[in-house]
Amino acid sequence: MPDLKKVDEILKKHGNDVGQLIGILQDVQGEFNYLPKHPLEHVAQKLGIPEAQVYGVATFFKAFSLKPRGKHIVHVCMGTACHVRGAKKILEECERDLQVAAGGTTKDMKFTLETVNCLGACALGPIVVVDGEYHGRITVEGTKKALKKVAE
Amino acid sequence: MTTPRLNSEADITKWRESVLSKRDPKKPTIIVCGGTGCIAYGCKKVVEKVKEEIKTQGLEGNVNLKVTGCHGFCEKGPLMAIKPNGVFYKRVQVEDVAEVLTETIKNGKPVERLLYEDQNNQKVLSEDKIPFYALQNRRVFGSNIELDPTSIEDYVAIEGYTALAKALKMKPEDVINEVKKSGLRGCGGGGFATGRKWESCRNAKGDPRYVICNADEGDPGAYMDRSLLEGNPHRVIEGMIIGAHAIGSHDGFIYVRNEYPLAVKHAEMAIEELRKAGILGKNILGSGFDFDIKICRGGGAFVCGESTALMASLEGKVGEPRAKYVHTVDSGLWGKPSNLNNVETWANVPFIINKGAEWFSSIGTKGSKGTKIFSLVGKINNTGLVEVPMGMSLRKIIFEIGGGIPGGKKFKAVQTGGPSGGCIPEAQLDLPVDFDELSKVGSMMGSGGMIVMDEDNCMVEVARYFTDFLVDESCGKCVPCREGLRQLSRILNRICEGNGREEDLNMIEQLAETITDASICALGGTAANPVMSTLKYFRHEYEAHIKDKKCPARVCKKLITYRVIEENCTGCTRCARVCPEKCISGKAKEVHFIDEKKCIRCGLCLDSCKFKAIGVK
Amino acid sequence: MENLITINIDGKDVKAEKGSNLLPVLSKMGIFIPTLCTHDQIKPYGVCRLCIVEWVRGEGWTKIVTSCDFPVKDGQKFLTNSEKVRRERQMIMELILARSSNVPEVVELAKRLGVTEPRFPKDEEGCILCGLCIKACEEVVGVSAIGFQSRGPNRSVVSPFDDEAHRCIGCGSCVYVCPTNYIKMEEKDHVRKIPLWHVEFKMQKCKTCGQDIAPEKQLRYIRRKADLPENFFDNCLNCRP
Repeated sequence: MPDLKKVDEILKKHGNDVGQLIGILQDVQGEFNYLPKHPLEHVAQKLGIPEAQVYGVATFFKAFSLKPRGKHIVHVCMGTACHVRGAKKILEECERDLQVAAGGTTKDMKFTLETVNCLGACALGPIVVVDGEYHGRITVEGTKKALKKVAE
Repeated sequence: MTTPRLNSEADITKWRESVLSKRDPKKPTIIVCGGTGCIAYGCKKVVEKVKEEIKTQGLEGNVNLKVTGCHGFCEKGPLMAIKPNGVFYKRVQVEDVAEVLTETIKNGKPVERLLYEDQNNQKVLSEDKIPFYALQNRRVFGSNIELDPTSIEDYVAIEGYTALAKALKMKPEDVINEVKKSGLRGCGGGGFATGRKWESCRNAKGDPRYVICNADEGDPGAYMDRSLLEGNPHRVIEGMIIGAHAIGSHDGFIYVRNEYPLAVKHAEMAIEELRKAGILGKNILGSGFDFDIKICRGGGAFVCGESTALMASLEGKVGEPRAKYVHTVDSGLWGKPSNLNNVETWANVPFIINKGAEWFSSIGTKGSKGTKIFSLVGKINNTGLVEVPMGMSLRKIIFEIGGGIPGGKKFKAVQTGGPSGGCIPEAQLDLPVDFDELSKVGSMMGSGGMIVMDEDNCMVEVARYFTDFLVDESCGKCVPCREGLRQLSRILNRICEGNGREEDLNMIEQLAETITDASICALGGTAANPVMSTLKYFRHEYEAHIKDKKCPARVCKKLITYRVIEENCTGCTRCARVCPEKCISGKAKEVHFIDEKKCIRCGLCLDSCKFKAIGVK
Repeated sequence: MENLITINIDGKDVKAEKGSNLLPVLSKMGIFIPTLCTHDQIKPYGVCRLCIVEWVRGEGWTKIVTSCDFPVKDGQKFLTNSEKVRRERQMIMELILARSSNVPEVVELAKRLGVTEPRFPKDEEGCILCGLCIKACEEVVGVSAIGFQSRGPNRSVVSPFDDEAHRCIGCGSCVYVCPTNYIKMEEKDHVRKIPLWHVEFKMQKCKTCGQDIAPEKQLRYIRRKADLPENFFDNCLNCRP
């Protein structure tokens, strides 16, 4: 059962401000590694807004996942500059390597693979971010290595 | 040094003098670029090594280290500059650091291999002689190299907040008039006259009123705003406070894209310092004016770069736009008058107040004054951020500053304005870049993203890419955008897969008209630009895909085949080993063979072959 | 009569209330404007875009605008049936028809606009995403029990977490406003169910004749909101003294 006390702390940190809903949800996701149902209902109750609004926001924005995510999060940038430099190939390599389609999590819950629509580091395209670490100018070989390193 | 509480303009002057008095301009400073790009290059390790070497070589107290925001020449990162002698180093690795300290700092000699080399293989010593920089006019972006973005003192040292002090002594109407006179137009893509927007907001009825900074830079390939907010948050904030004074607002917001954590961090640090200094909060600089700023993060939605969607998001709702028959300056956030401007627009404001509208408008074109920062990315030698006067030609930017196309390939097109813009071919490269000229040929300057493409890019595929991007980012509220783009995407995907039909081009044009005219917001309203501009200038590629089932650029997988060029194959077996489908057969030292039926066109064999023995048809 | 302004519709000058939306003015004139997402008790949402007209802004300069949410100003000129308007309305209708090809109300409206066979692959989505159910629940009833989820082509109307809609009071307003009869409501054995929102409600029976009046929860809600006595709904309308 997710700890709702943590949710209360997060709400307090954001001043119980409904305008900060995205920031609140990001911190909740940071706490539980995804957005479970009860914390979201709790947020709605404390902010005095309908659950439908919180659920709508949680499902609208790409940053949020309502399903448990893997231990390691892999982001492949699919922005135009990266695309033009072959990002698709890198994504395909990740999918092949991890045996999971983009947007999904591996069965052993080790990896979640997601695409991002431009990270703003375009000089280094194509880019893969693994657990917040940027790997720029990445090749297929480099992708294999980066994923292997994290899996260990 | 603790941040003092400032109660007047005189206090700022005193503080600046105090800061400068403690700095020795002759003392060397090692400046390392700490923008997100260079961080991805591993500059953090370089910084740690510099700190280590300063100790090891006994240079403590004799040299400063400053980690700044983005310098712009991203292709050559990690970047390092040495002041005051002005030496500029590219691609600095951890192994180079010791030598830099010994040779350049101690012995005053440059490390040749780290110097920039121009097209004639001549080494260039300093930044101002490098063509990439020399041809720019870095009014706004240039300050990045002088500032540690986490240090308010650095900003004060370069006359930060003097514009604010001056503006607070002016009447709001006079501030607005100066901005109007300057000709500043919105840098986020809309290009609306900033002064006029401020005036409309000031004259609108209702309180409270809001001032918003749109840092939701969503155009893929554009990262100007990120680098400005990361590298010089104070300038952006100073612009916002000036604007708030002009409009009569006491509450400001900076809406930052979710994918920019460093920008959020630096902006938050700046705000904290400014509250201590009395430049944000109550009674700013003793003027009696109150204003504070909240930072809100986006959640990963391109549509939230649209002003009404952004405001909905600030209200804790989904990023759904609404009709703009009633303008946001009259009724915006919470139904109150709201003035929204882009990061770069705000960053220009302090200059206009300090140096005057005439100075600002002394460069640029008739309709577009001042400078604009562009991100030059894709198939280009000098990838990075460039700031040039409005009116410079695309050709100059791409070939002289950008250094042309790598690998000796031929230029094909440049996409300007992101997914809202269009592709511009070689024939139009002499067009001056400003708010109006590019729109005339079916594109737009947009926020400043410039994605260069060469002969190996398929323009139909590019249109498909942008359309798919917009389908993914559409909020889904209105039929023309949600359904129209979905059907447009279907058609383009079919064409790229070799299933194009004769009636497709006609249907694309019909869909484009309705999507453009009948969508609620500019996402849908400009969504047809990529496909219509590529259709206009590269119709032959579409026809080849549809009629001949061929992709002239050899990109669309279903329309190409990979084969071994027998004359060149040495039988090294590299390709067979990397092939994920195991469809390449052949014995060692014998010519290899690709099974076309199993081949998935991943391109790994082509990458691995060192003998040019893999051909794509 | 300072509240009245003059606008020009298809060449004819007409008086309208200042700040009124355009669509009610056109309806009053008897001009047929197709719509799928409007309801006179709900604020215009502007999503179907069928109600578009051409706003003539100047010489050779027009703009397509939706009439449902366009506040009119004095002197403005509009064309409600120009070739451009007809053509774009047809394309919009074609897109809606492709998505909901088997919904009678959509097929009928399409026919009226001259669209019979869409040139796109056909789907059979019963919900046209007009948002009326959500808006009715929010604006008229005031409970906001349902909402949209996700975005783009994946957008759909749903109860939170696609689970039991806790705030739903079973009033059936959503069923009533739905233009395509997509939302279904069943009543059997004194229990009302709305399967889409995963809810069921015990009906309150009239103490006199035994007929079902409305869900207990709904009546509790109305009593609380209107500050009515506990026994207010004990009898149905026919059996009230």
